[in-house]
Amino acid sequence: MEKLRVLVIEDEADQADELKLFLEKGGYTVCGIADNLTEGLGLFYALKPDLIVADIYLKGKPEGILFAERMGENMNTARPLIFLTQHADFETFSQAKLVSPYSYLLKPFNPLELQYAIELAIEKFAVQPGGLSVKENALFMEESLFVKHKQSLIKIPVSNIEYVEVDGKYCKINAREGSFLVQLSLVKMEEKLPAHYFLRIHRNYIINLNEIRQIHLTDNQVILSDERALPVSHTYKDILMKRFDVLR
Amino acid sequence: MLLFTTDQESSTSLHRKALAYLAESCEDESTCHQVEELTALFQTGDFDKAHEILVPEYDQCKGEKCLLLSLLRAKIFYEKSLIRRAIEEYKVALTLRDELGPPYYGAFAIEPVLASLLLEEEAFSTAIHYLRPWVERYSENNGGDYYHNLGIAYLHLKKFDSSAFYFEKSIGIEMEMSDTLGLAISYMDMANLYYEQYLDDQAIPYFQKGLDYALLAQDPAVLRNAYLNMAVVEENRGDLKKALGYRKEYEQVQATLWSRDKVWEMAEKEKAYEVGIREREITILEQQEQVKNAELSRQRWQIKAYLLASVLLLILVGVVAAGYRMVSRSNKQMAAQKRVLEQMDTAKNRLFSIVAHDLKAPVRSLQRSQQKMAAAASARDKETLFALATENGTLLNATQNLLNNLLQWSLDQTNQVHLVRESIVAGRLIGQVLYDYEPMFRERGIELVTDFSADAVVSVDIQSMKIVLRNLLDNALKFTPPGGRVSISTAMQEDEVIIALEDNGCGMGPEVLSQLFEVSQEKIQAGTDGTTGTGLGMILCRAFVSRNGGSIEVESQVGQKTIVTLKLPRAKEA
Repeated sequence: MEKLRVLVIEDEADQADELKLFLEKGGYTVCGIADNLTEGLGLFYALKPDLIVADIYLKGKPEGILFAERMGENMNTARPLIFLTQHADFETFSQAKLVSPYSYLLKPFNPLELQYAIELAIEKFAVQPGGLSVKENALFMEESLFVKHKQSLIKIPVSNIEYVEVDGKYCKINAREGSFLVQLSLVKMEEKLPAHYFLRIHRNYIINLNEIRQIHLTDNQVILSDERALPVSHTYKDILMKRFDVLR
Repeated sequence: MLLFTTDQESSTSLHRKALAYLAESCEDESTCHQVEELTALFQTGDFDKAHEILVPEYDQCKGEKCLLLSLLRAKIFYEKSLIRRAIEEYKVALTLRDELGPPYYGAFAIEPVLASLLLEEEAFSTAIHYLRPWVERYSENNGGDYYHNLGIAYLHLKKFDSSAFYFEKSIGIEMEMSDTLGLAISYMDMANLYYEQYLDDQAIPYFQKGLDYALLAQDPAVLRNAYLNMAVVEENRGDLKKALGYRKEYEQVQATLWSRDKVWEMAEKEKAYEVGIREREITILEQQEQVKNAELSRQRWQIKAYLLASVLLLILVGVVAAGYRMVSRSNKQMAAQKRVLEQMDTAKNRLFSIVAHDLKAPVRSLQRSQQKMAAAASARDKETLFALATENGTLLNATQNLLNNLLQWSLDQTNQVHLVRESIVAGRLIGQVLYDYEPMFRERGIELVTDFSADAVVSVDIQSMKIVLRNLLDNALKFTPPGGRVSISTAMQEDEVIIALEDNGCGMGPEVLSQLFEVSQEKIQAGTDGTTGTGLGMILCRAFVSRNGGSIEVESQVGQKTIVTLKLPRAKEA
C-alpha cells in the first residue's frame, strides 16, 4: 500500500508541525517541509510529491500563489495543490479565481476539513468534480488509482492491479497492496484501465495481462502468478488468444 | 319611288326575347338584378349605359348567354344607327344560334332582321342570301313583309321575274290578312316593277290599286307617294288634267305631313325649352348643393380641428397627470425607503448598544477574575486558580463567538461576503463542524446523536454554512442542561435537503420565538452555563441561509425542546 506523499510549504513552524501531525495521523506521508518559494520549488522538483499544501502568504509575500503559478507552467509535472489561508485573506483569495484549479483550507482547520480539502484538490486536478467527495470513492489520475480507504486516500499504481472483479453494483480491485471495494462500475473500469495490458475475459472480470502465468484452454481458465484461477467466457476467449499472439 | 318595310317589330321581339331568356336563366341575385337593370335601360332607351353593362359580361359568357348578349348588342348598335356594326353583330349571333342547335332556329328569327338591315345598306344579294332560305322554310305562317323585302331586293338587282313572284306572294298574304297599308306598298312596288321595265300599261293598274289601298290605309306618307306616283304616271301618259289633280292631292297630303312635322317640331322645341328650364333648375340646385357642400366641409374641418385640439389637450393633461403621479410615487418610494433606512439605523444602533453591553460584561468578569487569580496566585491556591482559568476559558470562548459573528455580520451588511456554491454531502459538512464541538458536548455531559443520509448532497457556500452550523451548535450547547441530548439529522425532500437540529433544552416561549430574528434589547436570554446571548447569531444564520437559497425555521416549547430546521438547495445530479 502506497501512502500519498505530501509536500508542505509553510513558514510558521508550529503550524507546519500541526499540519504534519494531522497528515500523518490521516495516513499520509509528509515528504518535505519548505518555508519559502525557492526551497518549495526545489523540493517539489526533487521529491515529486503527490500533493502540495501551501500557505498563500510566506513571510507576508504571496509566495504560495507564485508557487502555484510556477508549478502550473508545466502541466506534465503539476500536482494537486491545497492553499492554506487565513480567514481575513479568504475574500481576496476567493476573488482571485484560484479556487477553480486548486483547493483551499481555511485556518484554523481540523483533520476532517483537511481530508475534505485533499479529496477536493485531487478531484479538481483530475477534473472529475465530486469524484471522491460526493459520488464515488475512487478516481483515476494519470497512471494511478486513488482510492478512499479508512478515512484516508491511498494511491495504487495501475500496473499493480492484478485483476478487477464485479462486486454487486461496484467493483473489487485486487492489487498487490490488497483488495479494495471501489464505487465504480466494471464498464467504467474497463474504460479507464489502459487497454494495452488490461483485458476483459468474462462479464465479471478484467485482468492484467502481465499477471497471467498460464492459460488452460480446455478448462477455460487463466492462472495468475499467485495461483488464482479465473474463468474465461466464450465471448472473450478469441480476443484473449489474439492478444497472446501479439504478446508472444 | 320604292318603299320597303323595315321589320321593326321583329327586331324588337328579338331583344325582348333575349331579355326574357336572360331573366329566366339568371342564377344568383346580382346577375338577376343586372338583367332587371338592362331591361329597364332598354325600355327607357339608355343604350349607352346598357352597352357599358354588357361589355364585361360579353367577355366571359358561355353558350346560350353569348347568343342573348350578342342580340342585345346588335340591337344597341342598331339603335345608335351603327347599322354596319349591327349587321356584323347579327351575323355573329346567327353563328352562335346555329351552334346551339335547331330549337333556337325558330325561336330567334335573326335572318329577316339581318336582311332588312342589309337592304337598308343596299347589300341586296347578301340580303337575299340570308333571307331566301329562311323565308322558304318558315315564312308560310308569317307576314308578307319578308316576301316583300325579297321582292325589293330582286327588284334592285333587276331580277324582275323573281321580284314579281315575291311581290305576288306578299300581296297574297296581305290580302289574306287585309293589310291595306302593306297592300298599298306592295301594289306600288309591283307597279314600279313594271314601270322600271317600261311596261306602263301593266304598271298603271297597280299604281291605281296602290292608291286605292293607300286611301284605305290612311297613312299620309304612303298616300303622298301614291298620289305622286299617279301624278307622274298620268303626266307621262299625257293626261295632264288628271296629273294636275293627283299633284294637287299630293301637295295637300304633303302639306298635312309638313304641318304634322311642324307640330312635331314645335312639340320638340317646347320639350327642348322645358328641358332647358329643368336643366337650369338642376344647375342652380347643383350650385346650391356645392355651396352647401363647401359649407359642410368647412364645418367638418372645423370639427376635425376641434377634435385634434381636444385630443392634444387630453394628451397634455395625461402627461401632466402621469408626471405628477411619477413624482408622487417616487416621493412615496423615497418616504418608504427613508422609513426602512430609519428602521435599519435604529436596529444598528440598538445592536451597537447590545454588543457594547455584551462585551462590557465579560471584560468586567475577566477583570474581576483576573484580580481573584492574582490573589489566588499569591495565596498559592491552585484549586481556585484552576477553576478561575476554566471560567475564563468559557468567557473567552463566548466573547470570541460574539466577535466572529459581529465580523461576519458586518461583512454581510456591506456585501463583502463572496459565496461559492459547492456540492457536499450535508452530513460531511456538519461532521467537519461537529468535530470541534464533540469534546465540548462530552465535557458538558450532553449526548450527541447524529443521523446523516449519505445521499443528501447540498449545493451551498461551505464557509458561510459552517458559520450557521457553529451558531446553531453554540446555542444547543448553551441552552441544553448537562445530561441533555442534542440530535442532528439530514434528509432529502424533493429538491431540498432538510437539516434538523433538536435539543431537549430550556426552550423558548412564543414571545422570544417571535422576536428571534429581530434586533432588540428585550430578547437577551441567559444560557444554562451562565452566559447570555444577544441573538445576533440567529440573525446572521437567517441572513446566510437565505443567501444560500435556503430557509430556517425554529419551533420550541419552554422547558422541553427546540427544533431548528434548515432547508437547503439540493445539488443536482452531475
